[in-house]
Amino acid sequence: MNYRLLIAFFISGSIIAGSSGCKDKNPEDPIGTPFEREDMLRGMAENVIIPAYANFSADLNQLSADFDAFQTAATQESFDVLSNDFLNVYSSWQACSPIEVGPAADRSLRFLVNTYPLDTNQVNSNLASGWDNLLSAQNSDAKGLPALDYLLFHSDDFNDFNQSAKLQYFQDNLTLIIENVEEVNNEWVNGYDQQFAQNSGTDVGSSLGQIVNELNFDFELIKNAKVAIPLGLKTLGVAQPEKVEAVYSDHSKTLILENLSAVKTLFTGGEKVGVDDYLNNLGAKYGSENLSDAIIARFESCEAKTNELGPSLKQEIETNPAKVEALHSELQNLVVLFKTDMPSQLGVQITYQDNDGD
Amino acid sequence: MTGISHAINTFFNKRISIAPLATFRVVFGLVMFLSVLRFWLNGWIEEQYIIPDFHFKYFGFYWMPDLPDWGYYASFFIMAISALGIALGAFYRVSAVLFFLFFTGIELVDATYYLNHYYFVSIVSLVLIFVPAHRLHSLDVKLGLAKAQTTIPALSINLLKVQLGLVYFLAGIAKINADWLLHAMPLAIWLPAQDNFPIIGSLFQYKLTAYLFSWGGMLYDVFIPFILLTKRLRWFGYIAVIGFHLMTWSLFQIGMFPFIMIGATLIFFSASFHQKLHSFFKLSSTEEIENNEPLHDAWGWKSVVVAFVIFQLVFPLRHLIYPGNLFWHEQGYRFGWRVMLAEKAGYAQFKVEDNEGRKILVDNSDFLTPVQEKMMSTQPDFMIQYAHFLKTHYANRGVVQPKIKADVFVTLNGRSSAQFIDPTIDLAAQVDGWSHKTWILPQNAEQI
Repeated sequence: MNYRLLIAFFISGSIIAGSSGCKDKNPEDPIGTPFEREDMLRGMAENVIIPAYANFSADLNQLSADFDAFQTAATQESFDVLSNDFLNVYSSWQACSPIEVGPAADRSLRFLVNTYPLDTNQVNSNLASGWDNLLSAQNSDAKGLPALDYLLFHSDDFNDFNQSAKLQYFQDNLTLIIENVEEVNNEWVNGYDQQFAQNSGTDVGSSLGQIVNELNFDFELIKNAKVAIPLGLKTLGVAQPEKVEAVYSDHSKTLILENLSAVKTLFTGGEKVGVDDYLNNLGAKYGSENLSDAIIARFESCEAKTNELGPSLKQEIETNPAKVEALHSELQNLVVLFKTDMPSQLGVQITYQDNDGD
Repeated sequence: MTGISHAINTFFNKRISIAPLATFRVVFGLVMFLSVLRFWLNGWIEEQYIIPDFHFKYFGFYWMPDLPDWGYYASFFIMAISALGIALGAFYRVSAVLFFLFFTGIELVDATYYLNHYYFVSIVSLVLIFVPAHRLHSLDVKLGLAKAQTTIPALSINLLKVQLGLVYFLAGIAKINADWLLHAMPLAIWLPAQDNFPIIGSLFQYKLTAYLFSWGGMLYDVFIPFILLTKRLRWFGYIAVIGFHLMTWSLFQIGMFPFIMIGATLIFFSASFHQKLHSFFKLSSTEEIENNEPLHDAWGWKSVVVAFVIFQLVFPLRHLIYPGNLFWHEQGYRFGWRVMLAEKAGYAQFKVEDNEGRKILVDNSDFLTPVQEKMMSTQPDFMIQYAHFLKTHYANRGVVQPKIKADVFVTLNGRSSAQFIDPTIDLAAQVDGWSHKTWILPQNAEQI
């Protein structure tokens, strides 16, 4: 083997390498201008995540105060105030739902706060014969906001709610949620925000990796739990409208809109730097448009299809399933971008396991 | 003719020093032992083999059974012990056979976890069964179970060099494609994601860096076997081997592969290098020597070896018989030394349809782990297996004559996601095979 020939190959190859790059845009340009993932994450913590918990926490405290007021003076008026507080709480939860990372993930907050459909048999048996621990396995589907929804809304008569077992069950569930959310909130404002920002890599344990995964997971919950399951798309077309979220207050449609908006805010970083800006910085395209714009456009289609529904999702499933199915298709269209284009362009990993690039 | 037959004779039968082979045995055994240990301690036995309800199989090995939970632990235990046996040269042939069988067997349980370097380990451990790597500095010699030798037929070492050379060379050839060389993909996606990398990380934002890495990687892979074979360039080449593999190890989640290659390529060094290495580790040269064992002399053996090498050369190129872009359809992708060549992500919404056309949307996470779902969503043969699994599952639950269809979207190397397979086809009616899967939709012509 003539080693001079080999060296010549190497050198000429390197020259080709350098020059061939020039065909494709200007290779000396950065793929993006330097992008600080750490700043993006810090912004997300400050502008999106911490405010979401703060809002939820404030609404919970309002609910708690008005619950005390109701117990002091149980009137239709104080009951209406309470019910209205509860709807605010359920709405502001939707903004916390997609950020199940760090302290929230440690406590499985989503599972604790919003597991539905509610196991009403279990709730009724608890009300009849008492309960020890809401966190026990048998109560896994009998707690959280769906339980409050049931207590407040399954009867029109506030006197039905004004019974000691029900009030106690309400109190215990509310306390459980408030305590956990306060802990989560405290961790975020006392250092986890920095930890979150500094974990600025792209591997599976990185903050960006976790956010992308949770954003995906939560969005799929909108598609599956909020829409597909009640619509009967998992049961051979047999609709199960009783499985919608917030079935007793019949507030499901609003909650879908709130959740869509929350996932979108997490994606855009609110008014500040978000994943959308990062994608733009990387030059991520979908067809001829920016991938971030395509994602926003599909969000808007999802919102439009939701707005086309009448006020009661449950009723729409029963009387107008085609419209709900149209929403499901739009949700699926966005899942495609969330699960393929977005993580692929970001280069985030979904697993610790070894890979050799597919 | 005499020239050729002389060359063949030299390749097969010339007596050469056993020293490089002894080093290879020790290094390979130790790296394998550490790999098994790492796999175990990472909790991957449970995560990859015990937790999943369903395992994807390799074509031709659908019969490979799932093991009971203890069977996986037992297999990895046997792998660890036999890897040590290989390293120490203790009950060497038995160790090599056990390691080959259990390592390969475990790989065959679930194709989800296919890695080129696992395939490489299977091949090398198969070769090790047949070569006398334990005839120097081994427990077998110390215990009198085998006689020491200072020379062996050249084939033992040449075959390993050929195999290593083919791995690199074919990996290099695989990099000669438009995405890799003209668009620096997928490195142009992966490198910016690693811009936290010490010292040079800030360079990863530049596309030029991705081009340099792409071309450098291709040139390295294509030429490194020849450089390592050339005496005067060997040290230069080996430093390149170390640099290249340490770089890829620190950038990507590729596990033990870099260390396997850094260790294995030592075999290209001369006998005197290895003898010095052995005396550095205070391994005495053996006194009692027996050299006249006639090995591998029959033509039968030679034809097996030739057939093996031809197979190793041709099998990785079988994708040429399929139309379209290999990286898109992945027919003939595995066992081809295609490493780190594709950034691919898919989304697969499976639908079960009964005889009245009523549907059930499948939630993949009910049946697959995240890694399995990721792999299935881009690989057509897995989609067939999964569809058959779903058909049985739902038929058992009373769905009448289920058909399994899927909306699958895939993005490859930064292109927009696009529909991957015909959404109207009943996947459960498909049978995997060598023939082209016509229901895979052609890749759209979008430029990156």
